[in-house]
Amino acid sequence: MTSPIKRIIMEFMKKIDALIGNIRKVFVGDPEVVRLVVVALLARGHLLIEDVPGIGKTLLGVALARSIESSFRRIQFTNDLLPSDLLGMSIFNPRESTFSFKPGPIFSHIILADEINRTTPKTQSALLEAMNDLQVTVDGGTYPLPDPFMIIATQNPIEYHGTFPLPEAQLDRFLLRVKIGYPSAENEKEIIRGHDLYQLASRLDPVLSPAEVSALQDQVDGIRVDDALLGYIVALAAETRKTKGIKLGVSPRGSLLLRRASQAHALTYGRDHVLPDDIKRVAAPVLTHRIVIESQSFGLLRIHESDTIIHGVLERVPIPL
Amino acid sequence: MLTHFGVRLLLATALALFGAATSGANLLYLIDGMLWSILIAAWWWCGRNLRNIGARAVFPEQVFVDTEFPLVVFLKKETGGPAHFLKLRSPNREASLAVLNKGEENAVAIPAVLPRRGLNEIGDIWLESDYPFGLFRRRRRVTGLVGLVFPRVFEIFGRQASPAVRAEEISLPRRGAGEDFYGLREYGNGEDARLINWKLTAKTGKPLIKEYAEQVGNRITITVEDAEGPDSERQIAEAASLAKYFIDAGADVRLRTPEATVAFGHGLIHLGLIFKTLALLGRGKTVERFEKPLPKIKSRAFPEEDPLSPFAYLTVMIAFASMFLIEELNPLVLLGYAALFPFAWLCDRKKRYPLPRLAFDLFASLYLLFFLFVDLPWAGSLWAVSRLVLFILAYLLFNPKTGRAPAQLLTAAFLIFFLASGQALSLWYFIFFLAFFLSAGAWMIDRRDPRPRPRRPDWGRSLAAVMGTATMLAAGAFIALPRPYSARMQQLLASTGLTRFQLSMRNFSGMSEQVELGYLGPIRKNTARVMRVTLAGAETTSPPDFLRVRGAAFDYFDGRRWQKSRVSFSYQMSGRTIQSRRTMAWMRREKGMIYGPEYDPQKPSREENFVIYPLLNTNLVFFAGAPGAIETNFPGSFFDFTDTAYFPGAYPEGTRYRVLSQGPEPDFSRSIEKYEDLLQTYFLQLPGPNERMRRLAVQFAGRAESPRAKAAAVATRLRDGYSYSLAVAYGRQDIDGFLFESKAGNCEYFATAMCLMLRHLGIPSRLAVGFLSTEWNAYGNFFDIRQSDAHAWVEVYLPEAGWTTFDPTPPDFTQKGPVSLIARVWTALNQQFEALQFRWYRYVVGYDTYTQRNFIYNLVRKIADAFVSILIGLTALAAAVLLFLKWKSRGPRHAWKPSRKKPEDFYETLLNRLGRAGFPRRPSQTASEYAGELGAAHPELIPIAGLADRHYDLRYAGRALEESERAGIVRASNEIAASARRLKRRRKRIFVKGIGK
Repeated sequence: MTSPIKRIIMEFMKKIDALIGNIRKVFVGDPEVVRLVVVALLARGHLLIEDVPGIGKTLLGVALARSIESSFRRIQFTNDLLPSDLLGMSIFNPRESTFSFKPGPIFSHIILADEINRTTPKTQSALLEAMNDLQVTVDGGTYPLPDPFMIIATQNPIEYHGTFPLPEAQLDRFLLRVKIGYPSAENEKEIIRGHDLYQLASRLDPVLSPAEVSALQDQVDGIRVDDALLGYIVALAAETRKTKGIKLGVSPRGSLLLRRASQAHALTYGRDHVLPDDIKRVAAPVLTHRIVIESQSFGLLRIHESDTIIHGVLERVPIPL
Repeated sequence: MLTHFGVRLLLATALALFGAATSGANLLYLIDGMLWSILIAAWWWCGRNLRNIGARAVFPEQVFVDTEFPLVVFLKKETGGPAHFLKLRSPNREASLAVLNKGEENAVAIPAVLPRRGLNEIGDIWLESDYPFGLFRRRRRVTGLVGLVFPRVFEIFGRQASPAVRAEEISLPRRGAGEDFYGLREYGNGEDARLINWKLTAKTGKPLIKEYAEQVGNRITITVEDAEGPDSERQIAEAASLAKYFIDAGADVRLRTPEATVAFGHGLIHLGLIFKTLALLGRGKTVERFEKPLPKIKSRAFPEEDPLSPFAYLTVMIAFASMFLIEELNPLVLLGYAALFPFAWLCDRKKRYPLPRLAFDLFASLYLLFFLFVDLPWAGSLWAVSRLVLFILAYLLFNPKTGRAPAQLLTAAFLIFFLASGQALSLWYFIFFLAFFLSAGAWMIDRRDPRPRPRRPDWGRSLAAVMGTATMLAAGAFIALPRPYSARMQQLLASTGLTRFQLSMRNFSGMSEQVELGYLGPIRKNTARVMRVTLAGAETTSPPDFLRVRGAAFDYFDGRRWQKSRVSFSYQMSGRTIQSRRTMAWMRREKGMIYGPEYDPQKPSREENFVIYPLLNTNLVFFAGAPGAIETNFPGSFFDFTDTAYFPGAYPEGTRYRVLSQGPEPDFSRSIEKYEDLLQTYFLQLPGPNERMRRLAVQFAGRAESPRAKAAAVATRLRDGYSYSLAVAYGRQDIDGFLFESKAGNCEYFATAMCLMLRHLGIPSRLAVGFLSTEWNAYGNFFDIRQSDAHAWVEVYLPEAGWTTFDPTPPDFTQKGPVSLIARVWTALNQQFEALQFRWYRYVVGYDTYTQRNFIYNLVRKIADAFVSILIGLTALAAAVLLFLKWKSRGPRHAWKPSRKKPEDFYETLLNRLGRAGFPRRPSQTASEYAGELGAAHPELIPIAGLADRHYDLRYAGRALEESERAGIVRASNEIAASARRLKRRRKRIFVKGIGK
């Protein structure tokens, strides 16, 4: 009675469980955050982790990257980072009298873009093409990026001196924006017990190969979404467009990505169909950074306000049973 | 609070009342009642619109003193229908919301300013609405909007802080070798030339020095020494400004105040903490209400309207169409005018008008002169005024609808409708009446809808509700409004010239000289009241079933019409024999009383008070029995040989008189000399030999022998074998046609036929005409007599009893079987309409003080009679309402409701049951969230999670429900529902216990 996709999913379920388990070995925080990270990976999306310093943003990125048997680069974004530092450059080869392209650090499966808002808009926008089209164009040559490709960016919303807030277009490229939040007392005790978690993360054993990740990603589109649920997604998007306090609602791309993220979320539970709960769970991480709110506030407060508004939207829109 | 428009409507109401009171036209009372009711209903619905709206405000987290910030107010309609056209108003700003549906929460942002640091309650935000028609503007204060306001923050550069505020461990920023720009100053003598900024110097032409601020230190303590004193506000503002400056500069800042301290910290969150602490210092802790009085709203009564609402055209068209009801106006001319509407609409669409405004104005002035000096004096007011309003309408329609034009258009439509109401009588008026007010109401709502066109008018139900309320109130007002109708009022009316607008019924002046066959047919269709007969004495308590009021009798029939022969005769009066003057036999007059020849003061007499209305234009003396004596202002009265009594002059303005009647029939025959000759000569006359009729008469009389039996037999045969019909037109049918062909006719045919047949049988008889009324008014002890009560019957001379009344007309109005079904349905419809029209005339057009009191009197008596049954009825009604409310408040409604219940829908059924048990699912809750919430609160309900999973399997995983598990699901559902009900009961018990304490 099991459908083919279900069989494949059951096969991969172990892998997904192993991946989540692997990350949780070092990241002792909200397990839902870990799941969202995996959702971003499966949905071929990019992840923006935004929270105050010191609660494990980088650790989470490293743990994910290490859990996949893939190339991983961590790029510390600073205000003097140049696009060519990121993408690579053409270097003159005197022997052959030609320019040969020397790939930059972006040619890896997983990129941890640390403190992405510290770099200049010029460098930030260099990431645009890479994130959207999975390719890089330098000096007239176009070079494909490895598959799977994922950017995990972190940023700190508190310090705004010397930072360049991400433009809306760039924010839109991230599938999910995740807040980690402070750990519980129990977890915090675990963290300070004395293990060097960062060292531990760098030495994690990979549990998935890039090919397996690609295969998993291919399954996401096959997850069934009921018509009523599509209606629900559309209703959510429509509600953000008419809600007072939102200057700019969610674009159709936002609705599309919400569907994809819900499918990936269903997949992390080993289901071949999306439930209303999947949509509701991923709606806030997918949507909050896609709306522009009418508020003068900034920093963490602003994120918090967007969050409140999106939760208000979720409370208002009736959900299909 | 009444708006400008409301004041105007009040004025219109007063105008309608004046018009109604002076003219007595009931349709104007109807309009007046409607206008009052609309005012009341609008006031009530306006308040209702604002009721049950919960408001909750969200302050932005960063609000500073005296700085405008957007206050977001979440409005939610808790119960009842949707609320429309809401406005949130602060003293100088407003924000509006077109519609707020039930259960929906909508955020409205309104700019606000607060002048005081600390906790503030904004008290001057008002929720306002002038829904539905803009007649009233009602408001409700939005309370409970409490928020924290940070102290004022200003630029610290170049300022000297007061000594009470200290920022320690560093000096204030000063010029030096920093990186931040500090300022410009002119180069002074003796300074190092290397300081000169050459670029700027070149630009300005004078040597300038660009200075930089020195980097400030890292750890700052800001101290506020006094949080309560008179100078505290300034100190706190300075402390806030310093904190902002240092935090911006990246320093660690600590705050010390007499009440609280904030430890070292940096970053914006820390700054927020410092601001909050400063805001709450001293007086900031206590919530103070801040309010400013709302300025008086100066809104124009009629804001512009562009494009004109479609309902505007509809309203004007209905008003215009109501002019067709004025019988005096030529419908063809009106039809010609109707072509204006499409043209005007086209003009509005294209924004091109046939004539420039100036030309129109010139033309209008000329027309006004024409109206005042030619039309009004010559054509009479009705015609002239009708033409004037039509001209005004055309003027308004063919000019741009800007500025005050919509207001003028509404006024013109109302005036036209008002004019039509003063003139119309037909039942159709009622339909126009409803349509006009409904459409005008829709227009008034539509034009104030703030949403852009095209839009869906979602206020239809609400409009229907408002107008329904208004119509019901109007019915009450119509019944209850007093009808002052007196001679003084009449004079007032005459002085205003409004008499010319009065009811334009044809005067009813027949009966006295001749009566043509079929004459009463059209008259009977009119229900206007012609007289009122008040009875005194015992009859007031047990009134007769009907009252037969006799007018005239006729002896000569020429085949078409009845006439009187001119006969002189002698009669006995007070013991003397008197010769009649020509046909007139004068009666004796003494002290205002006129005595008939047979008046006997010893005999008991019945008192009949007659009030004759102006419509009846005749000089007949009507009476209900045998006129013994008449009390009247007329100088005399006479009778003729047909026992018909007359006054010497007609009473066109109406009159009143009292008759003392002795006996049932008018009969002066014993006083007239040689009466036998008169009988033989005049009361056996026939228009000519008619063998057919004679045979029929013999056949009808059958074996009866006495004249009385014969007359009774003929009357019975006519009543049984012939049918009553008003459809016979005047002079279309002669008496043979009635007797032998159609066998249908109105009362004159029956009476004439009987009279002629009796004469064929040698029995003297005559035709009498008058009224037959059954309309007893118990309050005023009178019979109302209307034109439609006109009647004809037969008086037969019986040797033993004198003149005796026989009525051969069938009492019933029913007609005998028409041929086809369509004809039958048509007839039935016609009859229904006639009956309706009859009621309309009787109860609406002809409503007056007596009818009013009679209505109330009967109502009170009926209510008193039926007290117990009404009590039972009310109880049943209350029970029904309660049941309905309970049914309405049952479980939640779902957005995605399947059309048909399938076994797979078990979960939804369960949700409904749980909802009724007091555990409703919120529409935004998913099945598993709901299950989780219930399970966490009540462990008994945890099994619902399993059912939610099953539901998900069926609904989304595409699994089918197997027969085997169905029973289990049903069992589990029942168990959960049962536990939920138990929980509900327990909850109630706990609640009751809590109250008991």
